[in-house]
Amino acid sequence: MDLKILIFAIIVSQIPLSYALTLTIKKASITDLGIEEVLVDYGMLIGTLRFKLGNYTWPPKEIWLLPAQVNPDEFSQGLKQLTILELPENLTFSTCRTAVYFNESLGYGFKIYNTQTTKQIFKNGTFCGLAYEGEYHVFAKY
Amino acid sequence: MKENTTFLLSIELILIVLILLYLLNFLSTNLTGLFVKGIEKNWIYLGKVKIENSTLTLQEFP
Repeated sequence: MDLKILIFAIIVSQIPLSYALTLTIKKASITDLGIEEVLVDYGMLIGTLRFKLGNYTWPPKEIWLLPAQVNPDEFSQGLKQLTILELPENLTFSTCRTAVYFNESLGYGFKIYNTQTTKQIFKNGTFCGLAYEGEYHVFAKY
Repeated sequence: MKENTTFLLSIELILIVLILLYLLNFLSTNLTGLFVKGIEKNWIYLGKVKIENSTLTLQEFP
């Protein structure tokens, strides 16, 4: 009997959180989901970074978050961009658009850079990026 | 006697292969950075950050 309870508890504990949001819609009826706040599976990094030469300063062209201390060019060699992490436009000072790369031997890498339509690295060096949970080594290109 | 020697040799070979694999793994994970850090053109290593889900991390670089 105890063994059955234990097995049942193990099975229940393995059910993903998303099952909690399962609902049934009935014909000709209104279903109220209520207010749900779901945590996203990534975090945000902001900071300011400038290179300096005499009195001249300038922002980095690219900022990379990598799982190991490797050259970003080497990390991304032969890799295709896996996906994009991006915030809604009106949420903060930037959409924090970040390109996600996956290297089979090292793991995920995140490239923060400006595109023609979005800005993640500002002239004063303030930047914003998104990345999955973890510890990363930060590299900047000047 | 001959069987024993062959057996010991194969054990030695396995051990050598294991040690080589360990060394290879150690070198690839720990020493790569030493070759890269501060050497590569146009790239600067800034340090390590920890990102948590649904969390805003403020980072100050030296």
